[in-house]
Amino acid sequence: MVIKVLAFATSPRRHGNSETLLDYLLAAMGEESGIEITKYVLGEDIIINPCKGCNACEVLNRCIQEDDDLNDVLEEIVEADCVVLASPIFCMGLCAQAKALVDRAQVFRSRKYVLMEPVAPPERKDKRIGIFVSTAGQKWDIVFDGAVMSMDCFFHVSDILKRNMRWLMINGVDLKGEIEAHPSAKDQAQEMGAGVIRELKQLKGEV
Amino acid sequence: MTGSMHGKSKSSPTEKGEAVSVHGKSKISLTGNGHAVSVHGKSKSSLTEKGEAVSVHGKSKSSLTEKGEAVSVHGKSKSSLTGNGHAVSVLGISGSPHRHGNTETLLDSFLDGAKDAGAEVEKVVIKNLIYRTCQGCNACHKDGMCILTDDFTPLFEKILSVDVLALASPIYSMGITAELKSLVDRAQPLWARKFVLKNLYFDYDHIQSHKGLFISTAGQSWDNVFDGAFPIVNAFFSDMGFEYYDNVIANKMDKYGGINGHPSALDDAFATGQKVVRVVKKIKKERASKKEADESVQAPPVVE
Repeated sequence: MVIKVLAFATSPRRHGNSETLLDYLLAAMGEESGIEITKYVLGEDIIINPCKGCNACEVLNRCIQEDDDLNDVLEEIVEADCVVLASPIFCMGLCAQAKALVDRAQVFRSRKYVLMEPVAPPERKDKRIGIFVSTAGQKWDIVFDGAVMSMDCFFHVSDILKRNMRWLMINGVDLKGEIEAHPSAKDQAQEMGAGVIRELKQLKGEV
Repeated sequence: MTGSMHGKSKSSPTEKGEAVSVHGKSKISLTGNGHAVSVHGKSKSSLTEKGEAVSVHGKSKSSLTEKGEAVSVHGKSKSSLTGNGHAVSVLGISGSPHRHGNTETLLDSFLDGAKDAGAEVEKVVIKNLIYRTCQGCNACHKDGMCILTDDFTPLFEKILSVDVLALASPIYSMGITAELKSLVDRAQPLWARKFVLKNLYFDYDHIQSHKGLFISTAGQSWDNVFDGAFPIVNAFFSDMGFEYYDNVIANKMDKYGGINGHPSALDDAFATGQKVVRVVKKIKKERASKKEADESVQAPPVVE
């Protein structure tokens, strides 16, 4: 059985620190057999506009904005075994591009709590893993706290259990390429990539 | 079988122009020259609610302000917000995509209170503006300037010219909206001038007399529902030279059936609007009398 990994690179800076960290992770995952990895760069591969706050999804069970890729992307999120979102920290939070995707997951929230329908099929709910990949220029310990809260919501409404959320966050990298010189970032990413694939295979009963 | 890694990408790893934008692909242009990617497909001339291009402060061709709404009145004198004597200028920025919803109503009440205390009040609704998100290019680290010119450009000038700044956003997924976050991210040039180029400095007197408030509502009843937003707002006020003065926040909107069902929020907002104007007015008055006594007063902010 194929394990589907769906990853979003949301930074406006191409091949910067957060995307590089994501690439380390995905490369490690790709080493394993039977893995299908899809990586979307927001603004290039897919377009996600901000939520309009209209709450139409509470009735439609999908987003009323049909002029971007959101509705398709949401279905791909449901199908994925592993959802990865990479964002740099801008001003103590997710970058606006990532926040747009997170806000648009309101469709899932409406599906769960208004329409009372499952997001992922019940038999898959505990077999999915979410990974937040992030980098921050600041060295403060608290620099990821705001983003983690939003990502916790995103994974939660995507029917990914709290115990299946993983956090790969490296602070103190600011300039483009600085991540490459970080003493442990690449190792951490590789370790997590291999580890998550192992876990997913176990969860799906393949090992 | 080995894993494959594909990106469905038309985009190659090699750059093809950094046209990355939350608001991309909409009618106007993504591929274009890097200007004016429209969120809502409005034209540049219709920044004002009524679609008139009004020049209020003689800076921009068109005012960002909404005219003709109860709260957005420019006070008695047309002259200017930076203005005369002890007049206090208050700018409210609504980051909600939902017009006249809970958050904007709460902001309106705050601005009403400020106006009641004699302030000159303006409201800007980000939804009505045309802007692009920060491109992460760090060009501002070299010269303190943003490579983008759009409706956020005059808005930042306006922010830096007022005494009181109220940032309003509902809580979406434990944070501020993508719209308000777009504005916050675009503050990077100010940050760069303060901490990279070191050519911008807000002294204590300036910060003390410039008050920032965060106005927000959340559907959730959790106590920590605003916690993700606070550090973002704090960072923005700090970049802009404002003291983070107070919050006007109300959760449990779902429980109360909206802001109008909340027992105290609108009154609290009104009272806070009155209070902050009184406080700033007092500071200005004291400064003025001190200036009369002692003629050497530092000019805020110090810009080289």
